[in-house]
This record gives sequence, structure tokens and C-alpha cells, in this order.
Amino acid sequence: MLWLCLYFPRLPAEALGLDDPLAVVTEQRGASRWLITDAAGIAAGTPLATALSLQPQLRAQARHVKAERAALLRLAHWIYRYGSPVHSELREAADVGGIPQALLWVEIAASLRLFGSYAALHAQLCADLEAFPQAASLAVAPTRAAAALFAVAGEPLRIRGDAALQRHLAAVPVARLPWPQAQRQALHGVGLRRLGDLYALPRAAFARRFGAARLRELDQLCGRAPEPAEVIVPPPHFQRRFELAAEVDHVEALLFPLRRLAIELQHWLRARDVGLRELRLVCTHAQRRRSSFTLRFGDAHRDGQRMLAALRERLGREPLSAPVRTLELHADEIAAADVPQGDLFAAADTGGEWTRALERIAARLGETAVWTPAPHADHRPEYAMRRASDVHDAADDARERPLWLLKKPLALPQAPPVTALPERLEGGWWGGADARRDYFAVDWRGARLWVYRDLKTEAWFVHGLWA
Amino acid sequence: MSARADTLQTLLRDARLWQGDRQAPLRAEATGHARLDALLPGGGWPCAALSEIVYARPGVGELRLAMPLVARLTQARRKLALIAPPHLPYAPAWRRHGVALAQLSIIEPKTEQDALWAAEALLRARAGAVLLWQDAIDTTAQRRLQLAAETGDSIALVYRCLSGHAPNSVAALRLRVERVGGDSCVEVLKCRGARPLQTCAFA
Repeated sequence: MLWLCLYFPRLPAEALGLDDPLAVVTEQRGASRWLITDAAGIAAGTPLATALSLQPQLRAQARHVKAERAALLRLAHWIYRYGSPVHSELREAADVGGIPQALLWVEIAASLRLFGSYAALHAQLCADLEAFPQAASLAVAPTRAAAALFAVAGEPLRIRGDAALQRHLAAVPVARLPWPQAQRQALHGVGLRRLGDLYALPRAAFARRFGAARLRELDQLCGRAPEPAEVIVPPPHFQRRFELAAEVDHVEALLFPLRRLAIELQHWLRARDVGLRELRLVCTHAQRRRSSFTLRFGDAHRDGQRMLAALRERLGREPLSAPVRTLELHADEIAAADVPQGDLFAAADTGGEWTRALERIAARLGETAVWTPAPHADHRPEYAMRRASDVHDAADDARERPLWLLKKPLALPQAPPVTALPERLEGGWWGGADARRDYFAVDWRGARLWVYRDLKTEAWFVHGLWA
Repeated sequence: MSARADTLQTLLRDARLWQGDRQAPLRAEATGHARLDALLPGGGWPCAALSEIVYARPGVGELRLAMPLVARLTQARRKLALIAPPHLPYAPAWRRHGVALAQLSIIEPKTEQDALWAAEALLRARAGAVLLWQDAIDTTAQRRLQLAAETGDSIALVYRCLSGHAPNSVAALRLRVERVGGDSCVEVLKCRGARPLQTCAFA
């Protein structure tokens, strides 16, 4: 096993959406409040009162554990593309003044071959983190506990093999262990400064004095004991909510949160190895009113930019009915992804350009404005055609038919000059649209028309054009 | 003397020099009507360009003119779009003409602006051909479509139902379709690279 551990030191602030250098997140236990993120040169762990005396303009905000968990889960879905299994932990501080640690692990031994090398994987990972943007420090080690220990310490070590792990662990100061302050001081008091000193002690005596749990933790660090943890799997459904900081009444301002949601959806699709066919956006307005729309895609894909382009066109089509408070993105229909493959002869739709252009048009003009005709077996001309998403082969009709069919037959004021014999078409008594007509092809006023005489009313109509 | 002849030869080889009696090398898709192909430079619809079909009233054979092209492109699995058609394309008849309907998309925009926007987007998306019905298309829009057709290497056909004299146009090819005595006739109003004002009948 080779674990890559990511530590997110600014997650409490990022989960609250703070990007002001003077905004800090605080943790409270009893009467004491202290900083858990760095701000304006003041280190995390400083009591709030001290921090305020140093920097009076500091704006403190209580941490929001639920938001942190949600943010960590989102990151877990993203990291899924680098390997599996994935674990996450929000490790609460053991003492007053401690800093909670948001940690994420992914097993990468199996993915190194896919990426080619650790350097390639690392470069891709850093590019992703920069794109979010997301502050993180990472380390690689054969055990989860050791990887976390180095990631939290900010040492970007890459340890492979047990011997190297032992060597690195032996040099780690005892003060870095995520143990209660009292225990670390006790160890320090008896002259045990480094982990190497702890490993050199007789096991039974150490367990008696400091507890069996601590001994197990030491074993887990060096890989002598298993590290059971719950594996994170992406959920079978995708639904994300974005609370806007203020009511938004123009589309441009919605694009930023939509971009974030689309990228999350892209990560989720990639982790599940599926493609998106249909998505739904639900907007919540004042007084709990909701509006929503659905977008269908021509093929199953997982391209966040493409989703965003379709959403932008659809939102641009109609103005917002009311200012928006929250956005919710749902993946309504997923399917096995159509992996794009280059066509050797470039005859068909290269790179899906055509499909994407049609999607944009359908998003802007409406779903019903784009269609493909398909023949349907019926004698009545107006029923001999269907709107189809995919065309099935129907039997070929041997008779000649006009290229244009009028949407609604046009009444003729007088009988046209008929020369040929009629073709009688009737049917539909079973469906309530009974038709009995004699059809003729006529040349009239410089155009070739398809006209019929309704046998019930004896009136004449134009039904088609030989254009 | 020989130096002069050399200069002349160099001049004649210059691609910028257009010689009236020689056809410019044009890339074109055959219209499928042999007599019309013979009249047109390149032998058909110019590729990556805008062509215009003018007709005085619907039902004179204006659609049949393009039908061989539509059939050939769809059979080659190229994508085609009909934008703002005046009537319903009657699927059984289109199939009879050999059109692979699955490659065909029909777009019904509400405004002329939307129609132009859709035509431009699809031309840029490497369409096989885009057929647009718009009677009052202005020169700016024509230029935009021409550019889009060049970008996407597509064929743009604009149908204009005009009575009387047809106004100027920037299209590479302009044809007028009429029905004379039970036959459909096509008149070449303008074509890039050859002499226009010739007429022929087509089936």
C-alpha cells in the first residue's frame, strides 16, 4: 500500500467561503476561544483575545463543522480519480488551543502505472488544486497514519518501503503526535524526545504506562497494525446545493457558482465512470418559491465546460423570474459515457462539435425547436411522419410524395384544374380523425401543388408542394 | 525578347491574376443535375461558401434543386440542418429522394436573429450543409454566414422567396428557380469564377 495524504489547513475558512485576509475561524470550548486558521501573521492556535489585541481589525467567525465535512466529502469525490480506496477524517483537536485537521487519503500504488510516474500524478494533482483553488500539503507513505503525520507537519516526503519509513519515523519529535498535551509532556518528562525512543521501549511496559491504544497507534504508524477505516464511495445520485451570499438577479453573477457545481458534477461523473444525459437546475427564490428546468444532452458526456455552456444559453434565453437565493444541480439521467474517439475519415461528427452546437441551440430556442423527421406507417399524410430522436427504418413507400407538407392544409377558393386520376387516401376512423380524400398533383399558377378534395365536405385544400 | 516573355509567363502564373476565359480552380460539390453542373465553375455548389437560391413562389422546384446534394451528404453521414423551413419536410418523400433522415436536424427558431445565430453556429460546427430560409437577409448577415461557412468548411444555402428584381448579394453563387411550362428552370444570376446569366432546365 502506498498512501497519499492531503492535509487542508485552510478548510475551515474555505468551507465558509472566506477569502478576506482579516477573517479568521475560531473554535470554542467552554470559555476559551482560539483561532484555527492563520490570519494576518497570527498563527492558528492563538487565543482570540490575544489575537484581537495584536490585530484589532480581525473578524472572527465560529467554525461550521457541517460545512467542513461537506467540503471534505467533495474533495474526496474529486480525489477518487487518482486512485481508490479513499478515506477522509476530520480530526478534532485533543486539547484547548489545538487545531482540527481535515485529512484525505488515497491509495496510489495501483494508479502510478496509469499516470506513468509519481511526478506525473503529482503534477496533475497540483494543477487541480491550483484550479480550485485549494490550499493543501501532501505526503506519501506506506501507512495512512505516517502519511498524515508528515502531511500535517508540512514535509512533502515521499516514502516507499518499510525501512525508509522506520528511518523517517524514528526522527520525528514526540511533540508532533496528535496526542493530548498531558501525555506528550509526560513522555517528554521521562526523556523520550523522538519516536525512535518510543519504539525502543519494551512494548508491555509502554502499554501499561501509556495505554494499549497508544501502543496500537504507534504500530499503525509503522505498519505493524491494520488501520481500519470507512471507505468513501461516490453516492449513486448527484445533487448539490449552492447557497448564494446574497440574492442574485442577473445571469452573469450565477455563472461563477454554476461553474463550481459543473466541475463538481464532472468529478462525480468521472469517479463513477459514467456520462451525463440530462441535468436539472433548481433555483430557489424568496418565499420558498422554486423554478427549475431540465437540459438534455445529445450524448452521455462528462465535460463540465459543455454543461456550463448549455446552462448559460438556457439561462440567457429567458430572464430570471425572480432573484435567486440558492442553486441546486441534479444529475437526472446518467448513462455509460460515450468515450470520444477520433474518426479516421472525419466524415461523421468530429469531436462532437455538431452535437454540442445542436445542444446550445436547443438550450436557447427550446427543446421543441430542434427535431429530426422520421416516416411513420399511416396512410394519412399528416400522420405519416413523426418527430424522432432516433430514426427507425420504416417500409419504403413506392408512391411519389411532395417534399413540403403544409403544417395545416390551406383551403382553396375554387377547384384547381385537375388532369390526372386521383389517389384516394382514407383511414383514421379508429382514432377520431377520420379522413377520406382524393389527392391530385396539379400545376397551378406556376407551382406544382399537392391538393385534395375532402369527400365529406367537398372542399378543396392544398396539402403539399413539389418544391 | 525572351526576358519579356518570361515576365509575361510569371504574370500569368500569378494566382492573383484572373483570366476571363479560364475558370478559377474552385472546390465544389456536384449539384447532381448534369446540365446545371456544366454551367457552374467547379461543377457544382461551391464548398465553404454561401450560395443563394431565389424563387418567386414556393413549389417551383426550389427544393428539388438541392435534393441530390442533401441525399449525397446525408448518405456520407455528414450532418445537415434545415433552419426555419416554411413548411414541414415530408419524411416519406425525402426518403424517396435518398435522404438519410437520421443525419437531418430541423430547427424552428422564433425570430430571424435566432435563425441566423443557429445557422452560424452549425456552419462553424463543420456541418455538411445548412439550408436556411430567410427572405430578407441583409448583406452583413450574408457576410457572417460566408465567414462561418469558410471556418467550418460547410456549404451554406440560403433560400429567398422574392418577387420581382432580386437585390444585390455577396453570395458566391446565386440561382433563380422558375417553373416554365411544366418544367423547372434554373437561371444562374451570379457565380464566382465564370460568366453568369445562363439558363437550363432540370428534372
